[in-house]
Amino acid sequence: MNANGSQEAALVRRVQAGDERAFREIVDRYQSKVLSIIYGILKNRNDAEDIAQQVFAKIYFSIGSFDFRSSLLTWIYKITVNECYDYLRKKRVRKLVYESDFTEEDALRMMNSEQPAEQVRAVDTLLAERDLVMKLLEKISEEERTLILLKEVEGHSVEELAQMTGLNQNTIKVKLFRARQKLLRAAGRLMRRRGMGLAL
Amino acid sequence: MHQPIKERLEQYLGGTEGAEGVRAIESHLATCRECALEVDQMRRQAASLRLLRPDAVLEPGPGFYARVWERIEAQRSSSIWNLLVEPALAKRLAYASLGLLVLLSALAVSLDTEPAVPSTAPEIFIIADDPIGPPLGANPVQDRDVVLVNLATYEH
Repeated sequence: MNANGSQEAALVRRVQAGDERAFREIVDRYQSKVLSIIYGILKNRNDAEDIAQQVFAKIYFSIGSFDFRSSLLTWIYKITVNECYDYLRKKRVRKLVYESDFTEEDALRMMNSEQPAEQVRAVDTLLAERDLVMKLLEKISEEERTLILLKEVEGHSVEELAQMTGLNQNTIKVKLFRARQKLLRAAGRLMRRRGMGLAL
Repeated sequence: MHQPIKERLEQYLGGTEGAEGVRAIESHLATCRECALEVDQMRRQAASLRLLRPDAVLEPGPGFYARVWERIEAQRSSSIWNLLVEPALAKRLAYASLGLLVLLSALAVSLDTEPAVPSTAPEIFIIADDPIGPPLGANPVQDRDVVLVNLATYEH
């Protein structure tokens, strides 16, 4: 474990021992990250802070079960993504949620983002594609979902993922490959049901 | 997908594979239709996943920590009540209460049906042991009655 890792472990142990100041340090350290993850997934500023509050409440109540096998960030990331899915499940009608919560400002920002592929896509296509991605991610395990999001959304390398999860690099590669294959199969099934060609 | 492609897939999709590796992968993909199709699908899939990247770093509003703490306090105080209305626990409580009720009813019924202790027994013993009663042998008829009463009320 490196110096950052041992500092982080000491911080977690203090929270586990009931030190409220240490918990506040965790909130201060990760609040912006958690909010950004939620916003990236839901593209909804209005509810992002509410969900972030719930994420930190979950962290507070379950930090006793944190076993130090993965990094704190990986654990927080998993809780955050799960909380986003809980939010979507509560809303029930996912498609409507996306469309009604997606403001014009959000759409413009998305269109003007740095990625050239996004610039040429129409907003409705982007919405449909994001909707599909979220649905497909529900079809894989929590571990696979966290890994593939950390790789593709957060941009971590296989080496970094190995450090963050405590798994070796080959295991990470195998798990990512399986997750990608499962997503492709799920996309194929969904498209066949909808009578569409394979778009993902 | 063939093993050499599978092994380098993550670096290839992430754009971190070296030039030599990329040449080797692409020459394989040029001749293997199956690998080419799957890699292409995975490349498009990765691009779709990147749509979930946040395009802005959000900062919470002032008083965020206070609101988190309020939420924790609210959940802490309601957790005991939630425990009682939690379906699994409520079911167990219902079964336990029902079991207790059946047990108490059975106990009450068994107490009601138990044979009563004859209330005359002590009196009979008093008569039999009565030191001031007439001694045996004085009146044969009375002696016979005393013996019959003793036999009829005899208990181990």
